This record gives sequence, structure tokens and C-alpha cells, in this order.
Amino acid sequence: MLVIENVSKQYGNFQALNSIQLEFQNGIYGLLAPNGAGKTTLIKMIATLMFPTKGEILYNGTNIVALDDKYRDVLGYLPQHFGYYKNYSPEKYLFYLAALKGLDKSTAKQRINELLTLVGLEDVTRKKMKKFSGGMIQRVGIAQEMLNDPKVLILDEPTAGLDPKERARFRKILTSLARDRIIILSTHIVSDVESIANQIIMIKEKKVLYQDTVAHISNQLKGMLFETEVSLAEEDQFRDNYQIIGERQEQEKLIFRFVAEQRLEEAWQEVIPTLEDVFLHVYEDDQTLAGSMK
Amino acid sequence: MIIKQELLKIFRLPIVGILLLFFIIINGLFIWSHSYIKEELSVLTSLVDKYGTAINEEMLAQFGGDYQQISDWVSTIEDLNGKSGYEHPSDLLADDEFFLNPPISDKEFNQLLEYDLIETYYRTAQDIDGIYENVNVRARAEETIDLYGFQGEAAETVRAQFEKLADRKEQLIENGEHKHLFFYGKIYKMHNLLFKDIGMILIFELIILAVLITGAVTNYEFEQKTALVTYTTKIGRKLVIPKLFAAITANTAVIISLIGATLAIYFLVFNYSGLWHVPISSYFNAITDFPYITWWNISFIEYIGLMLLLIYLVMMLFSGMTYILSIWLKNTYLVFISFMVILGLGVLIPGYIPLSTNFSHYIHQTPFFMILNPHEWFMGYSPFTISPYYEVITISSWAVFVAGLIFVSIRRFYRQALH
Repeated sequence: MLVIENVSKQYGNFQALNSIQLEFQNGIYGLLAPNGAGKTTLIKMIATLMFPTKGEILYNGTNIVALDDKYRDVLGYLPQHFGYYKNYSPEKYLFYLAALKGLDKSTAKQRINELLTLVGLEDVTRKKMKKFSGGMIQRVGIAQEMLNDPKVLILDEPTAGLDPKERARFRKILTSLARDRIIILSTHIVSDVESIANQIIMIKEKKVLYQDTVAHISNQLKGMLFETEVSLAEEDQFRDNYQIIGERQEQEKLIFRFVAEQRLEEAWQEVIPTLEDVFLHVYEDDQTLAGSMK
Repeated sequence: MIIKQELLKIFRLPIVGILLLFFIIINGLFIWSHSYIKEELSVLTSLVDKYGTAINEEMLAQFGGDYQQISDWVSTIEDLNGKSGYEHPSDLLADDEFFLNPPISDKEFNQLLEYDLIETYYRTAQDIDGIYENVNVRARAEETIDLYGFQGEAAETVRAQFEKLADRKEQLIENGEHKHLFFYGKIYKMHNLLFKDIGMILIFELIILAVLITGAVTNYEFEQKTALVTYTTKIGRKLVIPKLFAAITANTAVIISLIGATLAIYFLVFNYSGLWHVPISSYFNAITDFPYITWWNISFIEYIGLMLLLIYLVMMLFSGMTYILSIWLKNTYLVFISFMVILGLGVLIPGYIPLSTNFSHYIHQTPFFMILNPHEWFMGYSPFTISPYYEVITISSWAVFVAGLIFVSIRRFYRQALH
């Protein structure tokens, strides 16, 4: 079990995270928050690349800093920008990383063959990676983090730069790896985790807002989410009165998906909230989201 | 396995191979540019073949007997005015009438030039005792103090060191180290060519390679943007330790290759047969009236060995300093520039220290200053490096200092946030 125990992180005067309390059992966890919310800071602390200013991170009851290489022996990490040696083949690069992970040569050879097949790179094992697409590089990244059969698997924005087909393939691979290990997937793309995560963690204002299942989190908006048609003349006033989650135009009317305390008009259709609705609701004031909605 | 992989990263950097080859070519051309003297140098090696290197009564008697034949031949030659009876080849060559219109064949004239060199060796060999009687080490101390402007305790330190050198000179005269034939220093400056010119070139070339190699391998993961992957593996940040060993190994290989190739070219061009065991303190090595006096009886071959050892140790120190800079800066270009600034400051700062306290001596005990005069290592010559143990103290104290800083830097790296 991995426990984030009252962890805070401060950079000079800037507080990045404040008293984060989390527990992870085996399963997939989606760490969902907009860019800049502190996801990467939290991920880097779990990956031992950064250290908490306050609090500690415990693996099976022991501080991961004290566990040192024993912790990293069960850790797999795919950073947001996966670096690789451009002139190396995936096989050669994985052999090098396997050595760093303490695998002997014969075990490494077997694991590398298995993993490159799992990620669908068995035909290009000896091709230089400088010719690879972003998706192929990301698959090498997944293979490298699985080399040591980790018990804690951390993926930071793993689908950035991938096309929809690659994203679907990625989710499939991840689901197949989810048994007997903790997988923490950090993302700001709801669809990456909505269908595969056992639990979603949302961070807001430097603190954990939710750690719950998709269904429970989605239920936060139960009875508060509606759709209705609004004429173009009424548009501005409607926007001022309600929090708009989504909108689309049909002929001369706008159809708004919005949040309200209760159903005030007959024309309003109550809809079943999704994780994305909650995400947009929660991060309503977030500058990144505000920018992306315009 | 990991060290091997780190070494492969270094040797796959094109700049390392290109620079190594470029430096070997440059050194070869530099050596070749001095090769015009090798014919004249062969006069000495022929003499050594005949008489050995040790100058003693028996050798001088034999040498003198042979020289008499030269003298006899010279006395028979007349210039165009009929003037003859010259005693030495140099007397004849000093006669402008003869020199401008030699009444002898070209072959005989070339022979005469060779005899002139033999005369130089013979007459100098005869004069050595007298020359050393006139070498006044204590007077040299005062001249040096005046020249540099030493005062107070700094001047006393210079005097004390020269006093030791005076004792060493007496010991040297007693065991006859100075009385060995060698290439005549005042004409050919072979000691300076090999140990100063080539030594300095090698040192600065190796500095460039050592800084590049150490910086590149230590910063490799940050520059390739693989740090987040490699430093979260089981070995983790301890990866910087195999990187240090890889840098040491690669630098050792580069030092051996560059020095090996350069010395191979040098000794292919210049024939030192019979001279390997001549003491460096031989008077013939001197290029000024104050001869080179090593603190111990060190032969030419031993001096080469000691120079190589010191160059190696200095490069290890520089590699260690580069490693420290790399851990802090994480960028090879920045590391390279920073190292060169430190090197420059290390050379320049001692020059601004007042020469009135012993601090002026201590501040010269740095590898930066030490590398400026490789031809004076283990010798009593310049006031700042005159101490018999200057090299040993400099290397060992800096080794402790650099090792300590490496330890501190690694400890810091273990607790540093990596981005």
C-alpha cells in the first residue's frame, strides 16, 4: 500500500501542494486536474524525483526515501516527456535501462522481448528510435516502466501527443497491466481515465478535493445538471445566471448543458452527469479551462 | 555493464574521436617542425655511442685524443689569405674570410661544421667543473627576490628554499650527476621542447578532452532528457558513481592515446638512444647560466615517467572538478565555460597577491599554476615552485579537496529535485 501522508510542497514562497492525504491499493487511479494544479509535483514526489517539504510518502509503512533502491526496485515511471537516446534501438535502450533496474542479462532479454511484443513494437526492436512516431516512443516508454514488473506504476500525462487510436490502444495496454499493482495515471484528459480508473483523484487549490470512484464523483452533480434550448436573444442572460458545462447550436437555438441548484423550468431536461461534467464544474474558474472553452 | 554502457556513450560522441585525431596531427606537425635539428643531434648520439654519457677523466682522455685529430686537421687548413694554424673548428668558422669563401670542398665544410659541434661538447665537458664552481645558488636567491620583489617572510622562504638547493648542488657535484653528455641545451633546448612546449600542449589538449568527456557523461541524462527515467530506476541517483568511473576510465584511455601517440612521433623523429639514463641535472640540459637542478637524481626516462604521472594526476583532478561542476550545472557548455573561467582565475589570481607573506607561496600551490611549467617539475628553479615537495603537496592537498567536494556534491545530488 502506498500512502501520501499529509504531504506539502513549497517552492520558496509558492505553495504547490498543501497537506495531501491519499491512499493507494492495487488498481488504477486517475489523478485528474488541469495543468498547473500540482499533479506533476505530486507524481514526481511519488517517483522520488522531488521530496516533500512536509509530510512523508510511505510504501508498505516505510518512508520511500528510507527504502531508497528497495522502493525504486518496485517502481515504474513514465514521465510526461519520455526521454530516449535517439540513436539507440528500443531493444538496446531497454537493455541499458534493465541494467539500471538491476536485471541480469538473460532476464532482461526475456522481459524485453515480452514487453516489446505487448506494446506492438516486435517488428522494430532494432530500428533506431529517431525514426519513431510519438505513439511508438510512448509505447517504448510503457515497455521500459514495466521492465522490472513494478508494483507501483506511475504515468504522467501519458497520452499527450497521441492520436485517438493510439489513446485507445494505450488504455487497452494499461488495463491489461492493472492486476496486482498500483497504477497512478496523471492526466487532464477525462476520457483517458473515465473508463479504466478504479478511483479518481481530483486536486483543487493545492488540496485533494475527491478520491472516489467515477460513479460517486459523477453523482456530485446528480439532480443539478440540465439541458435546455435557449434562443439567441436570451443567451447572454442565461450565461450570466448559470454555469455552462457545454453547448451546441441547432438551427436558430442554442442547447446548453448547465448546472443549477434545482429544476426551475419545465423545459429543462435533467441529464445524467458524467465525470467530465464534474471536472468542468469543479475547475470552472481555472484559467486553463477558461481559455480552452473560448 | 553500467560502466561499459557509460563508456560507450562517451566514445560514441564524435567530438572525442575528432579532437583526439586532430590533436595527434597537430602535435605531429609541431614535432616535425623541429625535425631540422635531428641531423645535428645525431652528432651527440654518435659521441655517446663512442664514449658513453658519463664525463670523467678516462672519458675526457679518450675524447681529447680523438679531438686532437680534429684539431690537427683544422690547423692544416689555410684561408684564402694563406692564414692557417687555427686550433679549433670554431676559430676557423669565426674567420669571415674563411667562412665566406671556404677553400675546402662542401663535404669537408660539412665535416668542419660537425667538428664544430664536437668541439662544443668537448670543451663544455672540460669546463663543467669550473662552471659549477661559479654557480652561486645564494646569489641566485637574492637576484630572484629582487626580480620578483619578495619581502618579509616570503623573501625568507625563498632564501630558505635556495639554501636547500645550495646543499643539493653540492651533493650533485659530489655524485657527478651534472657531468653527463646530453643534447646541448643552450643550442637545441631539447628539455624545453619536450617538457615545456610539448608538455604544455599535451596538458591543454588533455584539459579540453577531460572537461568535455567528464561533462558530457555526467550531464548526459539531462542533455538527452532521460534523467527522469534513469534516475528513478533501481540504481537511481547512484548512477552518477559509475559515470564518474566511466569518466576516469575514458580520460585514462584518452591520456594514454594522446601522450602515447605524441611521444611515439617524438622519439621516432629524435633519436635518444644511449641517453635514457642521463640525469636531468646534466649541465648540458641547461639553457641559461643557472642549470636545472632536480631535487633527486632523476634520469631522463624517469623524468618522463614522473611527468606522465603528474599529467595523469592533474587530469584526474581536473576531471574531478568538472564532475563537481556538472553535478551543479547539468549542462556541458556551461561546465566547459565555467571550468575555463576557474582555470583562468587560478592562473591569474596568484599574480595579484602581495609578495610579503607566505600566503603568496601557498596560493601558487594549485594545479592551475603547476601546469604552467612542466619542465621545472621536481626542480629548484622558479621561486613559487622551488620547494622539493611542491608537486607532491599540491597534488595531494588538491586531491583531498576535490574528493571532499565530490562527496559533498554527490550527497547534494541525492537530495536534489530533478526536473
